[in-house]
Amino acid sequence: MSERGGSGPSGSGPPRASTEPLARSPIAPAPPVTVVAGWEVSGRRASADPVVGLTITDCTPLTKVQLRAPAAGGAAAALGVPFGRAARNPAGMLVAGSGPGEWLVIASPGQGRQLTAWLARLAARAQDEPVTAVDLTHGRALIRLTGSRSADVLAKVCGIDLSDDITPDGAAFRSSVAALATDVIRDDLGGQSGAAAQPAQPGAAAQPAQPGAAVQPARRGAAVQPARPGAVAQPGQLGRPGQAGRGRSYLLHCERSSGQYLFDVLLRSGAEFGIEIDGFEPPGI
Amino acid sequence: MRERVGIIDVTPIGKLDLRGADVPRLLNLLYVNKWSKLEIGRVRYGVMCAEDGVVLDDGVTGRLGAEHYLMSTTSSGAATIWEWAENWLQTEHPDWQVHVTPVTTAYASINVAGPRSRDLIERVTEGVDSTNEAFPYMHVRTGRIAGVDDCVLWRIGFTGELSYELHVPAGYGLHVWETLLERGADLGAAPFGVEAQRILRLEKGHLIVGQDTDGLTRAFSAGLDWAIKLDKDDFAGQPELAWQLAGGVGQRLVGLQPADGSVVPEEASQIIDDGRIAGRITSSRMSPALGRSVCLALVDGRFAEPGTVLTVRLPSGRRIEAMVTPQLAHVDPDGGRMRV
Repeated sequence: MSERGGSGPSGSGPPRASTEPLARSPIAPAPPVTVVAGWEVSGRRASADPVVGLTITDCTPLTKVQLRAPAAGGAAAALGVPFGRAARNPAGMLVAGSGPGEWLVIASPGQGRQLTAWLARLAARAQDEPVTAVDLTHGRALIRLTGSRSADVLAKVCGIDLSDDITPDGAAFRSSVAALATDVIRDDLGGQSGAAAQPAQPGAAAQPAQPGAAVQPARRGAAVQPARPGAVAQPGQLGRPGQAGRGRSYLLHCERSSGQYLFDVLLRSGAEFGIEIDGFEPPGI
Repeated sequence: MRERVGIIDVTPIGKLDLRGADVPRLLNLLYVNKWSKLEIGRVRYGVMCAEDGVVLDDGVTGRLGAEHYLMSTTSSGAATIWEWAENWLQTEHPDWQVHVTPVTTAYASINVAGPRSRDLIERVTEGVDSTNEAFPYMHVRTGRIAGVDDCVLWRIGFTGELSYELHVPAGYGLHVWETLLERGADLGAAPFGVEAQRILRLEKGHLIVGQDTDGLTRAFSAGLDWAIKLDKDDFAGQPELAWQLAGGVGQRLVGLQPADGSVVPEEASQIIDDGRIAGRITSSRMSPALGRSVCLALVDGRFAEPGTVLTVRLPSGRRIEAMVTPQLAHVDPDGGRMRV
């Protein structure tokens, strides 16, 4: 057994490691590099309008936990988010129905143990159901693509209809993105009051909500107006400043080892729209 | 590494997180050996076969909790085995309570191997008693490594030495790697690569699925008799393996040493009997530990007896003699170096 930061038991042993653990994303941070919540991240700030301008952010430091439970059981009911949808709970966590009987829960950095503990309590309430939670924070990469032209970027590498009537704010789906199995969550910024743009109250994420109040079914993203029934977006017009594209944002979740590839592809795809890298800032969700 | 301590990045090893009350049933179905009595804190080597009895994959699986296991697969087999497990669960046993999650990329994996590996592990871990009594060979522990929580340590020995396989949350991989080198400097800690690992495992006689086996190699041919439990209720490949045993094993994987120890037959060199092909060299290297060449070979069963002298035809056409060894291991056949 060792004592970090000290010397050997006799005081004469080899030097102890003095550095604090530093977590690294699979995506190389664009300079300047800084450390946030124990993660090495880019300290770059985009110059574009935070709601309209097109930005890409490596959000890998966010806590990511996969929950599996019967699709129609008690745990599913407590979560309150069906397959294909995403919503926030009162603690600010994003719960996405990423597959039949499968959810992805995203929270601010360093919340893995609290999150799995909350999910364990949820599992305990769902007696006789096989419910499991696996912390995948380090196993997956998470990228946020934001801006009125974000759908145009995504449309270049993803075959899903990204128009508002098919995949509105709060939509969640798993599809091929740049030939990569990716969970996509449309998580629009709520204008200047959106959770991703405005830090949550201190400590809010550290106090998970009670299972019975797991989520708020209502959508976030007040800046996004519901699409006109039957409206179909035209190519190249998936999002326009001042229209439905305002505050549009997507989270893309893939295997860690493919994170750099996906980031690079999106960066190249967004070049014609003036995409900028925006460094990660907590709480980030 | 045989004298001090080396570290190798083995992150590509496939890893599956298995949870649920029926995990032992799944393991019994996938592997040829038995898993019902694996205790918490233990790891076991296992071999999987396809339904035709051909060796599909191998690796170790450890039991981390009452209903929580971590399975390792070959690097190339990671995706295949995930799909293989899901296929059985979804089509044949949807009633089983098992959740399989691929976590290959969730952990950075580092093998710390060599006689001084325990000294290094003691320096960097917290919450793990690494003495031989508290943490014996083929056991698993969880704890903090280099200040990083939620790490998994397996005491296993692919290289044939005292060694620990560390699985740390992937984002901390570089931090742990650098800490191991820094804290092990006075122990002679140094990185080693895949080629060195391949030599070490060949000296130890550990087979590699896909190199020492091929698309026709059934489990008995791979010398896995000790692991195959035909008395289990069922497992993938069981009927074919029972048929193989009844009808004659056919080819056998053997250890082989050329009479002239300075000659290293190229892999895939033919083994000749009276002008006919009777087998092939599957692995061959010069052994630094023995100062001679060592091989593994798949040969007709009639030539598998220890002491049998075989003829190997080199790519140049030259023919050399080589003798079948008593076991696959060329170095430390009793495994004493791994159990200290």
